[in-house]
Amino acid sequence: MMRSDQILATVDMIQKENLDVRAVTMGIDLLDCRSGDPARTCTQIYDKICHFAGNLVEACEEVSRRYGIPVVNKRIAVTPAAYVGAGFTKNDFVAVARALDRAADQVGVDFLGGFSANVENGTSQAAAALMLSMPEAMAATGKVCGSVNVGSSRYGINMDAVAAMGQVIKDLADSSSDSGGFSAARLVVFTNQPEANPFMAGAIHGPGQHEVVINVGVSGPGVVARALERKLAECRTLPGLEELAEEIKQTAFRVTRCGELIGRRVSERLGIPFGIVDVSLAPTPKVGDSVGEILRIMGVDDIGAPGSTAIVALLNDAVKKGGTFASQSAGGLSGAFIPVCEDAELARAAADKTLSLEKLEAMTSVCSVGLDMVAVPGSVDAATIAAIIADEMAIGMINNKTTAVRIIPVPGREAGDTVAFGGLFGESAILEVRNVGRSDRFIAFGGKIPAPINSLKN
Amino acid sequence: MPPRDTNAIISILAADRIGLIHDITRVISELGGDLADTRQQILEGYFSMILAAAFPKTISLDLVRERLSAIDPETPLTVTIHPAPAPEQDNSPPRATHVLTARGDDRIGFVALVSGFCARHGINILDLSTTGSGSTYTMILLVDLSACPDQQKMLDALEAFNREHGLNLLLQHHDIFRATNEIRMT
Repeated sequence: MMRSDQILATVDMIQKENLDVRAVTMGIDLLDCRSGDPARTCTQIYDKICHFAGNLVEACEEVSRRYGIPVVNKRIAVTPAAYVGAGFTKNDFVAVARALDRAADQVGVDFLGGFSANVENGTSQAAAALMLSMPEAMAATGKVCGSVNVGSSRYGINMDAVAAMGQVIKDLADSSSDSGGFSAARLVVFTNQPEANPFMAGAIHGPGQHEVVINVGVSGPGVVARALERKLAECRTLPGLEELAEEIKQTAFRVTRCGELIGRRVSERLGIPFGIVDVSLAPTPKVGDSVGEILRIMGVDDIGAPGSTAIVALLNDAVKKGGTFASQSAGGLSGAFIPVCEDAELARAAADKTLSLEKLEAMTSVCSVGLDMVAVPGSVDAATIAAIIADEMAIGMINNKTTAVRIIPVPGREAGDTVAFGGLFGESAILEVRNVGRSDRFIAFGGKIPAPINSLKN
Repeated sequence: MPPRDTNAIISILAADRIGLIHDITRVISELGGDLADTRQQILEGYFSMILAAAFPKTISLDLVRERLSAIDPETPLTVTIHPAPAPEQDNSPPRATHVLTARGDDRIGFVALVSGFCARHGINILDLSTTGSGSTYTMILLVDLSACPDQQKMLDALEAFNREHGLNLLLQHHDIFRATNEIRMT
């Protein structure tokens, strides 16, 4: 029998502190579905997904019931569609998106990721067609998520693709103006995109993976926040930050273990190999499930105040350390997310104007993803959006880390207005973008930002 | 070793003091007893121990009781001995072990209430500890659900039981606690 305090701490983590498994994501390789005939390809895609993922939701719910830990999302990630649809036209890719959406509906998952392309070193015809098809494909589907990897530390940044994605994001938002431009929330632009990642909208089943695999994404900002509060309450003198880092690390260990247990049991139940556990603090709009709250507990009165970046750096690193000790399979994005709309405290900081887009960008240089779920005015033009993407991609490229942009130019709204996307996507004030329209000449160059040097590091 | 076919379960209760375990196990070893399993705890100054042991067939259980009782002549140990069947190799699948935690306002009959729920739903209690802190009482039970006829029905009843009695009973699979508290992932 274990110590009673350990047992009660675990019980509280599950019952009171919002511990959940954020996503069980089945990765499915679709390369064998390729054929010269788009209609036949779509049929094969639909059949393969339904064959492997038919019991995914049921298995997750059964394991969730058995262990009393909620599995919030059941998802699918597939081979980037640009590989599957090589040679297809824009309209063919819209048909592929529809097939993916039908399959996602049929098996009952929340989202399906992989309407994606990798253009880090150049844009293939298929990738160009897929990117062009995105506005129509997203409008025609409800569950399909897309991503485009436009850069990497190995190859640099494909600035033609960055410019194209600025326009795609604008078109996506405009095509869904009745929902505040929500379609743009189903698209992420990456540098150094992980090839096995359970979190949306950037989940893909990249090359070098099993045919079919179960990946899992854990969460638990609420668990970390409560652990820090307890630590501060029980210390007679103010603890050093290294003590708080240790508390975060140990909490991340426990959170990761819960996620891996659930993931492995789902994998055993389905007879499909277990892949990675993504150890991420992924907030939700729910009170007490916020990464922003952790920043406040760790000493900034307003999120965005000086010190916020340093806290995110400590948090992100401590989560990774705890997670990697807990699991030999840690992977994906692993760290702390700071998605503005999805985090009640970050959204409040945006409304209070304590958090600016520029400070958020600084914080993303040490968080695990990037500019995530950021609502900006609908009047911001495509070139400016492309330039925001370029800045974020540069941070990832130079620092050998993943960075991403999921930005929503909300049609018809201005800075300070609010937008609500509902559910886990939350709501937020619209962040001001300064110097709009002042980057056109930079974006017009196109071409590439060359890959960075790997010596003379300063 | 001589043949061992006198298996016994021995329970001992005594006021706690230094050296008690040594005295008990010394007597058992002097009688040729082979210890299989033991549990020992101290509660409010009282020592409680339960042992499974096998003795040579020439040793009677009355002799074992007599020697153990004589350890402290002035304050004799309370010794109870039951003959037990020889332990069998356990090839059964792992039991459906869960941890049930029960928390609520301290009251007379708390343990009886919770254990009554367990009895009604075929939940076997393997290990039980209780603590009181202020007005809150906490029970932690290691339980086996393999004899529970309908787990979903039992879980529904658990929720109703919580509402009816103002308690917070939570049943979790034992694996969760191992995963979150042990270094090795099993």
